[in-house]
Amino acid sequence: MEDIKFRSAWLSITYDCNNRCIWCYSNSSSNETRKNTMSKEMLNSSRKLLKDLGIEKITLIGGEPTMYKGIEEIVATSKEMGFNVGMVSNGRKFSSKKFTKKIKESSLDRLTISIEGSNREMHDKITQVPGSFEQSIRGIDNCHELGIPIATESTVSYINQEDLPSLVRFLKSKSIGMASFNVCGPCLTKEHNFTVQPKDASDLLAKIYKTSKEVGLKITIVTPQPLCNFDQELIEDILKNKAMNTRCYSFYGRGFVVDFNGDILPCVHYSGFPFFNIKRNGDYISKDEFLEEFFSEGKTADKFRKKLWNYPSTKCAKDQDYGAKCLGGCPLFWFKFDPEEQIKGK
Amino acid sequence: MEEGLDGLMEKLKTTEISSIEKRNFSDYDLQSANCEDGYCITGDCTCG
Repeated sequence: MEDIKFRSAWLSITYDCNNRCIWCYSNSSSNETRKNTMSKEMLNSSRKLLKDLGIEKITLIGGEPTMYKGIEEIVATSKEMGFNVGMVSNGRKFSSKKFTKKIKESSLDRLTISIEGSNREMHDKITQVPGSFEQSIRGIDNCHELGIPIATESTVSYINQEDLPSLVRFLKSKSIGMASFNVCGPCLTKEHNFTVQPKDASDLLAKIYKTSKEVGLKITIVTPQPLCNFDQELIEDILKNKAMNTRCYSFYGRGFVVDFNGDILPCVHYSGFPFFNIKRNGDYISKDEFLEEFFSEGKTADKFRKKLWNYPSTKCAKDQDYGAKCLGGCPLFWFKFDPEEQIKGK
Repeated sequence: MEEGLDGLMEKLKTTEISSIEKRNFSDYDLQSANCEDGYCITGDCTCG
């Protein structure tokens, strides 16, 4: 285990949120989960463990991390500890210039703001909070003004599918440096009907990519897709332009999530389904104990990764591209859909 | 929820194909999509 090099960790510091997104994977809309917030003791202990593990990059997420009281101090102290610090936010708190200045002064390295539609009607329909679009856009404007680099994140769903080309054009008009797109996936703790079938996702993502090329917007498709579901010429172009993420650290064990309660998760979607917890018998586990739980054969984390590395479909032929370039899609979707029906194959 | 991740994994629809090799997760491509310092989305990359 001496050569283990983690790339990144995510900290789910609170499940409180001022939006109520209808497909939220963390179920942040419910009154019960919104109370789940990381204690200062857990925060400090987990950051110390991450340092011991050699992690350089952390991303604060939730819920909505700006709902955490004293978020700017968390960013500032994390920076003092030597972390590169990012945050994924709905951007609404950044509509306050005073708050944006505080975050700027905390030296946040990366900020991703979620925008779900090209206009108030679509965005607010998804967030279920009237006025949220205006606040998020004002937040983007404030960040631009104060020199905080922003990427955006948008979730592709059956609700905003017709709006996607307009959304790409809108993001370009807002001078977004990088626009990322997730595909709406299943929530493991609550059934909802918004999950996009992988066989439909390729068409929606193709629309986004083509429009982004037309308008000159740099994009990243974050959710790994079965590459064979795309037109061959198109997917080659997408990959050549690095517009699709073909990696997922849950496969490789090079990153993980620390949940609000100290649970270690394969990715943010697995809240409530941890590999293990960093607190044991009242104490926090050491670096060596962490590595033992995370990598040893037969432990839950090891079994999970081995399960992922099965092929999702019998159509996934072994070839030189497989493994290096195609993960067969995000495994989350294979909890809900049958990959034999969703993966087209060559 | 009581079943935990071990129980959840049983519901994951993946296929073991004995006639072809499993993917090798120690041998992977380091390339991430459009990842640049300051715009990092996944954190699963080498930038920054």
